[in-house]
Amino acid sequence: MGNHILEIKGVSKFYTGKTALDKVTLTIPKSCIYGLLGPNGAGKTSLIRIINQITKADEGQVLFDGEILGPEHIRRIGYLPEERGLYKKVKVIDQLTYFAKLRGLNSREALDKAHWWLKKMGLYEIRNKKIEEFSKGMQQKIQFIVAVINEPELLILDEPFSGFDPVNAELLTDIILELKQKGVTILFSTHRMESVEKLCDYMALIHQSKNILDGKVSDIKQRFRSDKFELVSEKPIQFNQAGIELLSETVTDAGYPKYMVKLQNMSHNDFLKQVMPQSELLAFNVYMPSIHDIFIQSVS
Amino acid sequence: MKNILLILKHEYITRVSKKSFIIMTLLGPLLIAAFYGVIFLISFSQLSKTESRTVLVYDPYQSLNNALPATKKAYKFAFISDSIDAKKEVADDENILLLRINNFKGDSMDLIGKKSLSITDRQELKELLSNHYFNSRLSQKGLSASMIDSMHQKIYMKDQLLSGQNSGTELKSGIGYIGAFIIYLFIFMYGVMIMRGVTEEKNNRIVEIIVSAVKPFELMMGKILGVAMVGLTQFLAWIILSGVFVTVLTVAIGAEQINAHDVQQISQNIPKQEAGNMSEVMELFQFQSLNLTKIVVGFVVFFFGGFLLYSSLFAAIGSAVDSDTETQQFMFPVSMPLILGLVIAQIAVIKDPNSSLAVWCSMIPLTSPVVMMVRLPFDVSWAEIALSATILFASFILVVWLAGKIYRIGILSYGQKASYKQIFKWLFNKS
Repeated sequence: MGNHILEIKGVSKFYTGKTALDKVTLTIPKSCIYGLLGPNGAGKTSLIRIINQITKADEGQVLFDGEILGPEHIRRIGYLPEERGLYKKVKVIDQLTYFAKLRGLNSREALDKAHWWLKKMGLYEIRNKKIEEFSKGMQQKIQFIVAVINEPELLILDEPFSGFDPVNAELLTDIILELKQKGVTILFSTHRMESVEKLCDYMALIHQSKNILDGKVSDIKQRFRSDKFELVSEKPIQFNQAGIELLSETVTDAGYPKYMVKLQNMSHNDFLKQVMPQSELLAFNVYMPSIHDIFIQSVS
Repeated sequence: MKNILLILKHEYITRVSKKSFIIMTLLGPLLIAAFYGVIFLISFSQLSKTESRTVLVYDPYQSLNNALPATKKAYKFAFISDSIDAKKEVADDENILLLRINNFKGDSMDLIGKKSLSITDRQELKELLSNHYFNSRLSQKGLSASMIDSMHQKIYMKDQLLSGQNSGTELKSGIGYIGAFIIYLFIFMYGVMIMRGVTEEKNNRIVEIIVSAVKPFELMMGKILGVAMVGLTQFLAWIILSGVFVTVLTVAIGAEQINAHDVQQISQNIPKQEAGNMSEVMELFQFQSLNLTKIVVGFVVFFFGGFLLYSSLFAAIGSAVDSDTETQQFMFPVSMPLILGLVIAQIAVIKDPNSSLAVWCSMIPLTSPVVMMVRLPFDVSWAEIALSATILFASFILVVWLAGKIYRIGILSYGQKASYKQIFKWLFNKS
């Protein structure tokens, strides 16, 4: 058993006249939250479908826990598709047990798990009602149970937060973190970059069918920090020394001048020595690019 | 296999426990019983109708020689001398008709009534009159009434097979046609149900979750077989329940309506060539002429074969489209051979179950379930049945394989309007 739940090696997928994935290589470690990022149409869903064995890769290989991905791994994977849908006319409990059984659970296990999750989500009372009677938020929660009911080791969530209100999004976040604690790997795909910053340990950027960036989120941020600093002072400051490049000059909400500077061959302390005599400093911090900035930067 | 069973079970249970299914299962036989009841009531009320029509005969050419046809069945005759007065009477009462004879020979007449007569009523009247002319001309030549009567030769023909059995053609046609119609109805009703189910799963994306766990082919087969079981359950329930209802209704209505008088009238109403031979009529209801094993085995085989063949086509259609409204263009070529089968069953088979058209159509897989069913009661050889069934099931395997290809890609293709071109591309997709 390796340390990786999933290894994607040079996977390509072609549709008539179009390349959906172009030699994508990724490794996803165990028990982490892995963000799969990219704009709509970048190829995220194609990759997820391959991992889910809905379609086959035209090139390359996918390893699940060190083995070549096959039908025997279905039991260990959970999936929440981007477009949600359930049988409208079927009772909640029947729906859940059916999907659980399709993923390999026996009837007893399926029923136990369904009850357990319904209680956890606060939906136990409505287990004998039909889906069509519920609000969208409730349907989303039931759909989420469908994804986790087989206690997967790898949980694939495609745009998990779309359609959730803030309260339920919070609940979902808590459950995701709880699952991670238990050793589950969560692969989640989204085009909303900011959600990745808060949750993900690892990420990959997919753009125009290619994987353009992947790794630990903190490492990537480190890599993209590029010696930029933010400085807020009481009075305006002049930056005329060699080695300091003024990138922008703005004003904070409170009306103080705010500068973005880049240092070349100059230590933080030397820089501070230069500016401290000119004004009282209110803030000085290393500027960390947001994932969005990183994305824009990598694409261009 | 386990997955197919799981899907089959789910499809079966969810459909059978639906309110609409239960209502239809209970209501179906009630409707059938009510249908029969209405037919019964109408036919009896027609038979026992005492209202007769008066035919006012205006005969300026004296073609009838002042002798009127005797009152027979529902027609009473009376001479009139003035057709203008008679028209007033006709306008007042729809049961009064004016018959104007236009020449001496009596082969041209006008029948004037407030309402048009039915074809059978007019036929009856024509027959009555032509018999009257025939008889009166013969008696003019000096033949006695009894001699004329003896000239009306009655024929009793008994249709027998070499084996000595009654051929029971009417019964055979009836049974064959009812069986064929059930197959036809079943394929349409439940084929469309499968198609809808596939489109529903595709539309609400459930299919993504399912095919991540099972093969699309397993999903399709599970669905087809599950719905087949639902249909079978419904038909069994219908047969049992309608049996009960029809018996109850027949007893309830029949006890009141059928009496000696009516039975007499029925026998009078049977056309001349058959009338009188009540034994033949009774033999109609004897099943001795039927090879029941062959019919039952054949029915089950062609019922399932036909259903499986068509429902895989319906499943493929359901997977290719995004909504029910788009299905029309694909429904047409699929339902054509089925409807054609029923038409051939009606025309060719009832005329001659061993005509080459009937034989060929009972071999061609898309028409064979319906056409073979109609031929079955007419002692089709086991070899022929086996050949037809083999062709049917072989083409089912071929079609289900092709349908599976369309299905596999279709269920995951959203947003693009399905076209024949697209579907052919899917068919020849290598992976």
